[in-house]
Amino acid sequence: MTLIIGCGNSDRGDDGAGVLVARRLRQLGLDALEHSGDGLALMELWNIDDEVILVDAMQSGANRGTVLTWDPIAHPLCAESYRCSTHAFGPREAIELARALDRLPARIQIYGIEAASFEPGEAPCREVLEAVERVAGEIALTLSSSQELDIHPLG
Amino acid sequence: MSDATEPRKKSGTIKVDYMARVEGEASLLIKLKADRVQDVKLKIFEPPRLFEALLHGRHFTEVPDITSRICGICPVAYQMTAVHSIERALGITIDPMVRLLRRMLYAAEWIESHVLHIYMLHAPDFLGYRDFVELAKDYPKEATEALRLKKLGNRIMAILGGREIHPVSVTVGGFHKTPSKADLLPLVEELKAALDIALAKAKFLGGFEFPDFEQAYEFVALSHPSEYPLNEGRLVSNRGLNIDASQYEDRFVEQHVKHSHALHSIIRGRDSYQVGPLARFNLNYSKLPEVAQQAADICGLRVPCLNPFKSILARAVETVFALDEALRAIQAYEPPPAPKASYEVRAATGQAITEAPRGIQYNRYSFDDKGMILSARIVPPTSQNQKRIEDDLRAFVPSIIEQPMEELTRRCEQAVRNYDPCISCATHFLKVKMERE
Repeated sequence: MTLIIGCGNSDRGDDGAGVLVARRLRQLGLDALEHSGDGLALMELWNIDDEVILVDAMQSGANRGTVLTWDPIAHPLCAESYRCSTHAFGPREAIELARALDRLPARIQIYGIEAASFEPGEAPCREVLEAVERVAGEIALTLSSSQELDIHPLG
Repeated sequence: MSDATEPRKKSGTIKVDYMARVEGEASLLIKLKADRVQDVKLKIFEPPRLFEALLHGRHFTEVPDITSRICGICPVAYQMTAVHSIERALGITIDPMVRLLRRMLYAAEWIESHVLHIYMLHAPDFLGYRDFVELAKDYPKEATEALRLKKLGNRIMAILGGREIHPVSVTVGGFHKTPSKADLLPLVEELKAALDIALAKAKFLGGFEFPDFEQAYEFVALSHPSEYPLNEGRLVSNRGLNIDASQYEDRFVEQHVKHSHALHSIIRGRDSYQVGPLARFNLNYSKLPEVAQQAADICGLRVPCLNPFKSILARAVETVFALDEALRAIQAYEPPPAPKASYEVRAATGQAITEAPRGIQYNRYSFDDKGMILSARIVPPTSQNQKRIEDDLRAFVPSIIEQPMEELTRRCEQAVRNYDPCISCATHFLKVKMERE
């Protein structure tokens, strides 16, 4: 099965990017989970035959709202560019621990949305909100073509 | 990390800018001059969180849910200490089955917290790995079983607390809702299997190499006449302290230090002291159930243990205790007639001490005749251990002064982790900085 996971904290500015993508996808009729990004719990969500789409905020030094996508099974994650989730043991560590324990899912596609502000109580910036629409739209379109869903994404 | 490449210097500074594998953010600065430690500062720079002020004007029934938000690792410690303080203030007697469930909930937190610290934060120090992921590549069985233990702690928490983190079931007088026996019975076989795993892990951990380092500690922990301490007991030490929670502020002093946003605790007229697993083990060994004493034998932990690096073994023993305690609680449990005791609100002040995974936590609350909080005091374990951590480093560094800077720095980080500091509680990363003049 395909598992869509949006990580982050919607009450901490741009950190909510992944969670907002999950919410947008549910509005579009797709199942998507919201998750804090805690690595140990994250690893428990998937089975080894699942296909996982994981969306999270990232800090790579790119412009705010920039979207990067990559396959962490073929290309292990760079610790320095992907560490802005809630705690030090986040999605990167979950994927690398799963790799060490031979518990990786069949496929993982990561969408990283460049974030800048993580202030408690702040809303995400305009660039991140626009990126949320783009990412939700792309995921919905990809899945709709494979699952024949009637999806009309925005953005 | 910087200045960590020059070997065998007699003077200078060691610093680790962001020390990983601790809960929260802080830095450590160690200044050396001619092989002597001139200064040690555990700097907790995370800003004060002002929870005590936040509680002013709130109703006491809100306290367990607000204070549990202080920490994602030990929320139950905050809830338990808060409700016990308020219940002591109002003279509320809780149902024995509610007491049993509270011990089980606390045991779940000990399992989660201890397993996290033993394997994910501290074991990499002993085995020479940078982190748990690296350790897991070479020790997949140990890593997988550690994850299984932690998951069981999370599951018990979810059943009793409503969710795995920041449980929402605890209230003054009891619980909002208590489980049925059938809710708990599926945990029995899992707990039995987990006990076998935890005993086997005690042997694994006992095989670690421990630095030859001992200190004449004053250990402080709760002591109950017949139980290994969790929720209640008198506060005792190996140097004659024996007080009720209401006397805590007469005997313990919190001091501001310039370099930290957390207060330093000392025993009035004396000095630093140690709280946590090693203190509990040394003061309460005889009250451990047989299976936990067996775990201590397996890993080679004996009373008295004055080596702080062996705190990892005390955590392993306490993990066995906590699993056994949860199992015992399920077997004895029958749903209480009501989930919580009834009570009359009146103006009152109450204090309580409970045993958080990292050591004692003290709370005091005063409220008016409507139950609105007038004053609150929360003393978490990490601020109590903070001065002791600095004292340990002052004594430990000379014994490893001949080591290259990189190794010296690594060993200092390991020494700090002996205390499993929860810096988020004390006021998040630990930076370590060591200077040689």
